[in-house]
Amino acid sequence: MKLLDIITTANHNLMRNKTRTILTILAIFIGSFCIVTTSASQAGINKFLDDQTSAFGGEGLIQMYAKSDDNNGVSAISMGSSFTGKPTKYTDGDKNEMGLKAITPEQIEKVKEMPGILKDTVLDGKFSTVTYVESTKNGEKFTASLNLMTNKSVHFELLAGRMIDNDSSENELMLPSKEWATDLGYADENEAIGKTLNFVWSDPVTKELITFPAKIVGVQAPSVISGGNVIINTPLNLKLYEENTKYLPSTEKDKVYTIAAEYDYNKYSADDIKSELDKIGLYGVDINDIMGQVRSFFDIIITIFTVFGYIALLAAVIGIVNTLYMSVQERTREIGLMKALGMGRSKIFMSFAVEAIMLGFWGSMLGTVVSILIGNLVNSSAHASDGFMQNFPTFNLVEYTPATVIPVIVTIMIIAFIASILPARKASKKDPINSLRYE
Amino acid sequence: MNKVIEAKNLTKIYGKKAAAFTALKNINLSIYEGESVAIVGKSGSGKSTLMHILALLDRPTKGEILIDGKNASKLKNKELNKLRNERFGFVFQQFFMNANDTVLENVLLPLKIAKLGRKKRKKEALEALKIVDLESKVKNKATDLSGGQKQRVCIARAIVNQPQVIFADEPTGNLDSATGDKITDLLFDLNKKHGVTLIIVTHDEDLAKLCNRVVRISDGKIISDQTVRKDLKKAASKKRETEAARVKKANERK
Repeated sequence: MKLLDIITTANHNLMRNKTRTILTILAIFIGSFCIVTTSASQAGINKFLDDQTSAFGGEGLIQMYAKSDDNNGVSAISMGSSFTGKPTKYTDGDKNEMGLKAITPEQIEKVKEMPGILKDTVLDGKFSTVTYVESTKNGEKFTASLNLMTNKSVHFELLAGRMIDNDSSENELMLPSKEWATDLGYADENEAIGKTLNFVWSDPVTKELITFPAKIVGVQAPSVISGGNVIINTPLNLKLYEENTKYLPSTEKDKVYTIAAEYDYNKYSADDIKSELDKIGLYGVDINDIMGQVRSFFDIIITIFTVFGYIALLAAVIGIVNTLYMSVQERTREIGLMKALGMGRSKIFMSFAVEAIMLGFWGSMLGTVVSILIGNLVNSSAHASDGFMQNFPTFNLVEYTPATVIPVIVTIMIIAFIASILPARKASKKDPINSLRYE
Repeated sequence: MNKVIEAKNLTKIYGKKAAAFTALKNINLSIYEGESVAIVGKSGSGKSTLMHILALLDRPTKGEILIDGKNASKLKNKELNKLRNERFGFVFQQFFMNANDTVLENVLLPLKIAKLGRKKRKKEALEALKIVDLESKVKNKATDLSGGQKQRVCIARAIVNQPQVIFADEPTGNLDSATGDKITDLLFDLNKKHGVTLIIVTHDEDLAKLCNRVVRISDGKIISDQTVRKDLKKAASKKRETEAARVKKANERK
């Protein structure tokens, strides 16, 4: 028999006992649906976290803070400080202080000489803070934490406008979310582009309020890491810093609170670098400190669901074995006839194995199609204006790609084939004469 | 005259040691081209076992089977399957049809196994159905047919691969005498007009009488072997024609 004939015959045989076939396919469907859905949400989450990671600066970037007794440095990273992307109103008297210990010039020199650290990338952050930002449209005041864009962190999801340009002489900034745009008095994120935002702070020496204008060039999609941070370009940061510290004595002026550097991540792990930093009294934070927890949380959920999926599939496999054994039993005389007419053992084996593979194929296809339909429904309802993911328009809860779906289908087909081995062997070993005599 | 099948010192023992049962004892038998041979015996005489061994469905415990002078006991299973598929046709008492398949599907099964293309096997199956006069039932399901029609479908299936030999195991056993006669006519027609060698296993003396050779079996031994009529020459010449056609067809398939 030709392979094509075997496949069509197998399909034909499956159709002969529709109820049994459909029930077996349903069992496989449940397992494959679970697995496809979890692997798609894993892909969705991973893509999201990767996007977030590249916003932070990706692999090989480490930020450093001076260690102090009451502060381990993590608070300096405004992780999820404003997960919803909504700005907080400023009321007079609020303070916005980092509460950090300064890093000494000696420490910076030591970092530059440290093995693994790429010397030229060490960036001593002259970090600016503002008391509040003020809209030039409606005069509303909001508290704001500022952040810079390192050269490595080129990937920000934008809702409108463009990235800030670190080489520009203009003072540029990106708003953290579209809520910022609307709360600043603009109709939407597009209208805010090109408008001016005032940075206001009180001079540490004179206590006088100083206002400094900058241009809004982009509005970010909300993200876990830069969430809530107004991203400013380097020239703006430097000018703010100059203004901020102009009445300070020069010893105070040059204080550095955070430095960032790239390291050779092919040769050194983040932990290597961190333990080196620890020796000189610095605290290192890298992408995995932030993403690690998030990832491991999702990983546990995904693993649980995948295990459930495979347990369901195991039950389905027993279903396949049972179905095929019954089929072999019922078709004993047919097998005898085929053998008498010259069909070889291997072809008999194959015809039953192909039946199981077809069951696996249809079951997993059904699981995939239903999963995609439901997944797209969930994605679009989550992104709807009242959906729970409305603040993350670029994040798909479930992400279907051939790379996530096809391996699942192929795996299930292979599992179905393995399930068919015993019954198919039984069929292939049947003696033609005894089979023909079978009542 | 050519020997189509030759059995030498066939012995078949079922079971082992104490439970051993000798079904065939030292059988020597040659089947010639174009013959119609009846193998007659009571149930349990060993006639079915003999047919199964002659048809290469079973292997003898001792002795050998020569097909066209070639020793079949040395062949591998795969080669045996091929030989059976190409040279032999089978007609069974219980028909053995795939009930839910159409008449056509049932008839072309041997050609499907022989890996023939879709169009060709359909064409040849239709020709076979024409011979048994069932062209009108091509698309019917096998279950919807009467007993006589079913057996005619089985004959069509047995001849669809242009076999040298047709083995018929009690072909009229499940039929009333009138339809049984039609089936018998059809089988002997194939023997006379197309020169197909016919081996019929039966306990029906009337059917046996129609054959030109009757081999009687009892307790696993041949007790008589009579050639009744001598009109074999005619059948043999006919056979040569169909053999040529068979070879031609086989070549076409390649």
